[in-house]
Amino acid sequence: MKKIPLILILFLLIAYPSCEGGGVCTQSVLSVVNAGFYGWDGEEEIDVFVNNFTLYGINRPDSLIYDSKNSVSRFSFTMDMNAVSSTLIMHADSLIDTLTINYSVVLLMVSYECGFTNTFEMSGISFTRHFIDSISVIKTLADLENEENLKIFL
Amino acid sequence: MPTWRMRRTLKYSFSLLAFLVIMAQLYAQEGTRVRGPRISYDLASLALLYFEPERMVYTVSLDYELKQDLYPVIDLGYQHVNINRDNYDYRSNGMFARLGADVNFLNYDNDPNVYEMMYAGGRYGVSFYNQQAENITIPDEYWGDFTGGNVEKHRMHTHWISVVGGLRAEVFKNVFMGWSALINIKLFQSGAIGMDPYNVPGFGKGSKRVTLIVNYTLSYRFPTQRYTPIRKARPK
Repeated sequence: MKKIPLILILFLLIAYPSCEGGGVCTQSVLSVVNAGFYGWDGEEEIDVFVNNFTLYGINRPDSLIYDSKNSVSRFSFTMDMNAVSSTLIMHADSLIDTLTINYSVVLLMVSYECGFTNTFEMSGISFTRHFIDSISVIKTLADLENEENLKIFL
Repeated sequence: MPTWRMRRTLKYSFSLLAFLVIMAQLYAQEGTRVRGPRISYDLASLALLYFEPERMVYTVSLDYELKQDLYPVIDLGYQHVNINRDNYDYRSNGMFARLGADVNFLNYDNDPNVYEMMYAGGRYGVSFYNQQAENITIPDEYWGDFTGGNVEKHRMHTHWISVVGGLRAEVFKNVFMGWSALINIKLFQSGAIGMDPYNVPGFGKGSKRVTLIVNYTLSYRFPTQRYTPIRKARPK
């Protein structure tokens, strides 16, 4: 009988260790396309910096993703999760180009604290050529990683 | 709230005390041993009601004293998970089984009619379960929120091995209480769609390869048989 309190105390003292979940989410759940501006110096590609860079979704000139930002070499943007393509308008100085990306959306859990993200598997890209020369797709999956997806050659 | 260091100190202190009490029990009268199937219920699920109300687990175990120090054991359990968050709902149901054996390290040379255990053992575990997510919402201030997403219900299975260690004391005749710790090592998990399982029944957190589970058991032994244990020759 002397063992009863001992065992009960053991029961109470050893805290249940596998409590999980229920934490606070500290990261974004929006997948983004990471892009960079590049040029050629004759032998190899080089970073190019763009001034007065403005970016917004088509028909959304009142809601800017980038607003007249200078010295832009790397930038990122989200795409419409409720569509299969997104069109963005890019201003570089006084020149304007339009970029359209086709994709499929894939749901993926980020964590039980944060919930889900929609990743974009890019299947096609089209663009006008006022200041853009060409675009190279480096990574077709746009997700929460910070890896470059598009190389935009000017 | 006691600090982590205090809890650890108290835990070790009482574990040592339990060990000493169990050793003291060894000096009782000599006789035959009682054995029979022993059924256990894991009381840790009661703690879940407070610590993790989204998850309910029911675990029963059956073991049998094959020899004085060898106990084949099977654990069977059911788990239900129901998480309701602002941006998703998640549900999972499943069952598990762990099959293995425990070896009692306490030696009863002076009194075989003592049943306290300090044991270690191994298990092979398998779990079959399903999971799904609904009402997934992803906020996007620019393009507009994504709403109404879901991950279809899909079946999964996980296999693992466990290393077990624990203490068990006979608090009344044929009634036992004790605790055990299981270190689980995942061997295989069938492909998840869109998300790792929140918690694999019988294993633990689904995204982990190695997990720790602690069980607190209340057991009853059906005293169906008496036998005379074979004494082992002890090295001189």
